[in-house]
Formats: sequence, C-alpha cells, structure tokens
Amino acid sequence: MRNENIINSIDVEYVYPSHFEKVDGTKALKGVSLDIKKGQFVVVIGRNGSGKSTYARLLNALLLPSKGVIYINGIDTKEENNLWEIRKTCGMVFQNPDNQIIGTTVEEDTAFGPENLGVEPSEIRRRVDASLDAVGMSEYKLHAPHLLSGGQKQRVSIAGILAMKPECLILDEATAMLDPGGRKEVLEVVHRLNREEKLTVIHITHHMEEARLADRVVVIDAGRIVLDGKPKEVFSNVEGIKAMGLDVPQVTELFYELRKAGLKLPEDVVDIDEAVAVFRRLYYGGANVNKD
Amino acid sequence: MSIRIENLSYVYMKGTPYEKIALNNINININKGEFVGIIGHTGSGKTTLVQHLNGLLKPSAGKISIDGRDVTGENIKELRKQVGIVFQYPEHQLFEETVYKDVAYGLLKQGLPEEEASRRVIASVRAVGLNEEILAKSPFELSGGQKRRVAIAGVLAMEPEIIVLDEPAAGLDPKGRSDILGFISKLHKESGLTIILVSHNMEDIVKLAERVVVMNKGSVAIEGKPKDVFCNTQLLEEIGLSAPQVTYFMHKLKDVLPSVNTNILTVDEAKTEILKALGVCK
Repeated sequence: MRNENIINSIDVEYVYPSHFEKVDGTKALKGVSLDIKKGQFVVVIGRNGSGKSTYARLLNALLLPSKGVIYINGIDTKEENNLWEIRKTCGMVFQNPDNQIIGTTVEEDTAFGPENLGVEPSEIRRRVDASLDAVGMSEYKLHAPHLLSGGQKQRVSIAGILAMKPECLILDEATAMLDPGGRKEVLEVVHRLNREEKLTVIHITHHMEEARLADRVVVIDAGRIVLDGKPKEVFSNVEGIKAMGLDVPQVTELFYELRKAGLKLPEDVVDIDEAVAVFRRLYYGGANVNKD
Repeated sequence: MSIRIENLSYVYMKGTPYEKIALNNINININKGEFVGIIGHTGSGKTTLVQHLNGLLKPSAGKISIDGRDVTGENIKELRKQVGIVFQYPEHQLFEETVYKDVAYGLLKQGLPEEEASRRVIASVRAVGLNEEILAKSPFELSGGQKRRVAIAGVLAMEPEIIVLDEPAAGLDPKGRSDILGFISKLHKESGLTIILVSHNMEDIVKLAERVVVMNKGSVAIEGKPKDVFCNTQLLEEIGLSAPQVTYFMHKLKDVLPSVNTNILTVDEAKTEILKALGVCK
C-alpha cells in the first residue's frame, strides 16, 4: 500500500480551536478518508468553507489532525522529527501570488527552499536552473518578481517548490486570482509536470473547466467527501452538484438541459470535442431527429 | 450621473527606468443608469482606469468629467461620495469590532447624525442580502462571502450614484458568485445606480452588463454589446481572454448542424438554438 499511495488519510477530523473558553471550535473536517496514488492528478472542489483548504494544510503538516491519521509516503504527519521530510515531499502553492514570493530576483526566490534544506550550492544552482526551465521562466531569472504578471508569479512559486524536489504539488486555489491567460499558463505547466515527471498534483479550484482534465475529482461538502471519481462520473450528477452550490462544465449542463427537453444524449460529457462528436454521431446535418 | 473620459493617458513612474504607459488615450462615455462591464487580462489597465474615477489617480494627460464637471478640479470629498469604489478583495479592509461599526465608519467620518447613519447601515446590509442579526457580530467570524458583502455594504451606505466594483466575485464559489452578482443586478434594476463592473470572468459580464469595454495593453480594444464582443472569440484569445465554453461549443457544432447560430453566450440560449435547429419544439 505504501508503495502505491503517496497519501493515506484515515478518518481525519479537524477542529479549529475556539478563541473563547467553553465554546466548541468549528469542526472543519468530519471524518475524511482519502488515498491518493503516486502520479495522480486530483482536483478537489467544494464550496467556500467546505473544508478543502483545511485538508490541504493537513497534507504538509501546517495543521495536524484532531482525530485520525495522515500518512505521507508512510510517514505520520504528527511525527515532528519528520516535519521537513513531509514538507519537502508535499509542496504547496497558495492563492495570492504576492504572499509567497520573498526573493528580490526570480532565481533568488527559487533558491530559497533548497537553501533552507541545506542543499549544496552547486546543486542549488542546478536545481534552480532546472526548475525555472520546467515552468518556462528561465529568461526572467534576473527579474524582480514584483514586476511579473500573476501567472508568471505563480509559475515562479511552483519553481520554488520544484527546487525542493517534491513528489506532490498542492495548489490551494492557486489559479483563483489569475485571468484566463494566466490560468492557462499555470495549468499547462502543472499538467506537463504531472505527465512527464510523474509529479502527483492536488489542485483545489472553483473553476469546473479545470476539473475536467483531472484523473480524479473529489468533492468536499461540509467537511465530508461526498463524491469521488473520474470527472465524467462526478459531473454526470448535475443536480447533486448544483444542490451543493457548485457548477458543472457548461456543455455538461447543456446536455442535461437538452435531455430534459427530450433529446437522447449521454450524461457524462464534459468536453467540447466529445460533445460535438456526440452530435455528429446522432444528428449529423440535423437528420435523424429524435422527437420523444 | 454620466461619466465622460476623454483622451485619458496615465504613465506610472514617469521619468524612471520603470516608466510604463498604463493607459493610452482612452475615450469612454458612460450614461446615467448604465451597467458597463470592463474586461481585460491582468495588467491591461482596468484597475488603473477605475482608480481615476474618484480621483485616486490623476490623469497624466486627458480629462475625466462627471456630469460635465472636471474630476481633477472637483472637491475630492464630494466626488468620493458620488463615486463609490469596491476594490478587489474588499474584505481585507474590514477592521472594526462589529459589522455595524464597520459599515457605519465612513458615515460617521462624514459627520452624519447617528440616526441617519443607522438607517443607512440597515438598508445597505439588507441590500447585500444579509439580515440585521449580523450587525452585532465581529466581521472576522463571518464566512468569506459574508465578509465580502459587508465590505460592499460599507460602500453602499455612502449612497453613491456611481458604483465601481473591481472583481467583486473573485475567489468565491459558484453559489457565492451568483449571490453577489444577483444583488448587484438587483441594485441596478431597483435603484437605477450606474454600475461599472470590472471582471475577467466572461460569464458574469454576459449575464449582467449592457455594454462591455475590453481593455488591452492600456487601450480600448473593443467596445459594444456583450453579444457582439464575445462572439469575436479569436480576438478575445489573442488578447489573453476567453469566451464562455458554450460559445466555443456552438462554433464547433456549426460543422455538424450548419443551421445553428453561433451568436450564443449562455446555456439557455444554446439549448433553444439547438432545439430550433433540430426542429424540436418544447
């Protein structure tokens, strides 16, 4: 089991401490069991306050479970001696690009992580170059980070994590503040790293079209996992997803509406090309209309 | 109140190596009661533009007038009462002990009597879809969406005639988004406020705005009705934006069903159009 899964969470609860005595804190997670395989691309969706960011913070021991256990590569996150090992394994990129960049140049910022891990200077040089190359930011290595665009800043943040040689990259709404162009930049980089370097990716987002391309979609609601499966399986549950205050990709919703109007269309279409192919098969040129 | 922007240019850090032309000869007119969407990628100049509307920035060249009066010459306090700006992530500006005090802050600074302030606080909290029970709470114990609304209520309480919202739904989940946009739309319809909505979410602009201004590299790239603007998917892509997924779908579907109209922006419109093309009536 340890070889195959990078993350094992067993019945995890988390209660935020209350600021007042005698008042119970908020229970953000109410028994989450989730295993994530090495190399998987997992998208986590859920409403604001559903507990998804809390879960992400438990994965690199920024928070520790109130109940239950989380193993990262078989190591319990509660073992303090292994804290650095855990943070090296699971690197996290946060929502606001301006809150996580500290260096005065792009390469200095990228070197911050490995420097703190005590990596050899020549090795740091190698890693910084390789990481900036991997996110397509090499030509900016001597630039000041605060003058970059949002998408570029997030790519620099990702490079900083790659330089620590993680096995798992956690993006906690890392695309939320970006425009469509910036989102595309970041997602292309992350998908390539997943494909080519077999990096495990956990991407928390509100953008349903980003979920479409994942291996697996996990839906968290009120501190519990309510749906877990391939994007097609999860989004085919249009009513359930909408009832939770979430959305499905627009073509999935369109197919749902057309089915209600009597057309015989599949439930699990999430992608534009697939949707066009369905129409090509069933209704080419408007012929063969199904009127029931 | 109408806004007239004539030949507006703005240069950041003029005369330094970092000099950057953020706005380049912008001309826009916004009529009283209009709902205008401004879109553009990060760095296109949207935020710089709206910061001119209540005198936070002064034009490097050109002129802005509100109801015929030059903004730069105006008594700035008066101007800021008329033009309310809700910045990105406005909840970061909450600071008071209770929601009531936070929303009332600007009013009391203006020297309004307590009674009038109280009336406005209650009215604006209701206008953003919250109930009065929230007034006694600390703003910091609220959810993200609630905080955002309280921050917007603080601007509404000033009873501006023009309200500018910079990415009001950013970072919220789909339900939070539609709640916020819902009351903005209601405000526009019921109180006839002039609204300027800055966003890079096309779906939001499509639902709400009567007119769209697309900014690119400090200039106005396209301007027009949402339909006309968003159907130009190629130009949008070139400048780092995108149309709704369903618009792309309809463009590709035209190969299969040549009679469909591709001038489509919402799921509802697509549904009607496809049923029509297939000859199925509801």
